[in-house]
Amino acid sequence: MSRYFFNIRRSGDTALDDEGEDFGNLEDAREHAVNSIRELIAAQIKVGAIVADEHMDICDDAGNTLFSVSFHDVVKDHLAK
Amino acid sequence: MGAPGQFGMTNRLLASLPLDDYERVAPQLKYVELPRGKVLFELGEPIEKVYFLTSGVGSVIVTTSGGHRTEAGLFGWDGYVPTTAATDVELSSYDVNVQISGDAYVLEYSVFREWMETNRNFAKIITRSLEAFSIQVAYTAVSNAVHDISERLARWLLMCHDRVPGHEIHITHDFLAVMLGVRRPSVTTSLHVLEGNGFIKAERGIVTIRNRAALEEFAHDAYGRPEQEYRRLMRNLF
Repeated sequence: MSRYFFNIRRSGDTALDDEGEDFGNLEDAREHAVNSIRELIAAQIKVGAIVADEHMDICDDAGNTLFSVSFHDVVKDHLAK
Repeated sequence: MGAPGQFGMTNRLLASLPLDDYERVAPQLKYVELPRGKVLFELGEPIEKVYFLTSGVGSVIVTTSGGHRTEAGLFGWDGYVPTTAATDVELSSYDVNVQISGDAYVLEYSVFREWMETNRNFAKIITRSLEAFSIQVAYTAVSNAVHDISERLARWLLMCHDRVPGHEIHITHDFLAVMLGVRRPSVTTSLHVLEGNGFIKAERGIVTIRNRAALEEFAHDAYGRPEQEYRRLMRNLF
């Protein structure tokens, strides 16, 4: 198990995750990130807010960014081609 | 150790009993400390004791067979637990945990039942409290259906603020996620929103209420009505 931190970044403003959460591997952390972004986007759409160009940066406990997920990419993945 | 004189009793239910009744129940109350995370009751397990919190916050937690886990209601100095005890059913209907450490006075279940059967004043306060808790749970159900996560978080923080001394609420994002039935990043984001507005300060493991009035305004109809109903139910009892 490793601890991953899920920071949310939007045009210079960052909501820092200072607790983190344990996952068995990077793929599980990525799945959690995408599911969490879906929940955040759903909440925005429900109240009529614009889905801004936000990113979730997934970091290790040394503060290195391991990967980032774009909110817009998550939305695009849900649109029929 | 029995309970203090009624003047020093901070559990609202015990403090509301007529003095004669209080003086008879007080020697039967035992003081206990409630550390965070303590499991008070588990679904289907026998009820051995009934708790009257004097500080701290406990949660009624529901876990579905599929493993979804969320809070259905919370209580502190305003009530007693488990609510089931009022109905003469000896098994707990829910899991009940301590979310914010505190303390309580405890009655043995058999003693509690005896008071319910033999003292109308005691039974009246307990059933009023049961009704107040039902109202809270009903409003939580509505809130889960219609309010966004930031409003629900504001509501939850206000409900805790009502039940802790001072302005600091010791709670992790992980716990808050279970309380609100959301994923942890939704808590991180909503705390950031509330902090950005200057309502709270969020540090690791501690949320400090900085502007209660503004937080209430932000929560608008997500907060206040059950609290108003509680005051109504507990007024002019005797």
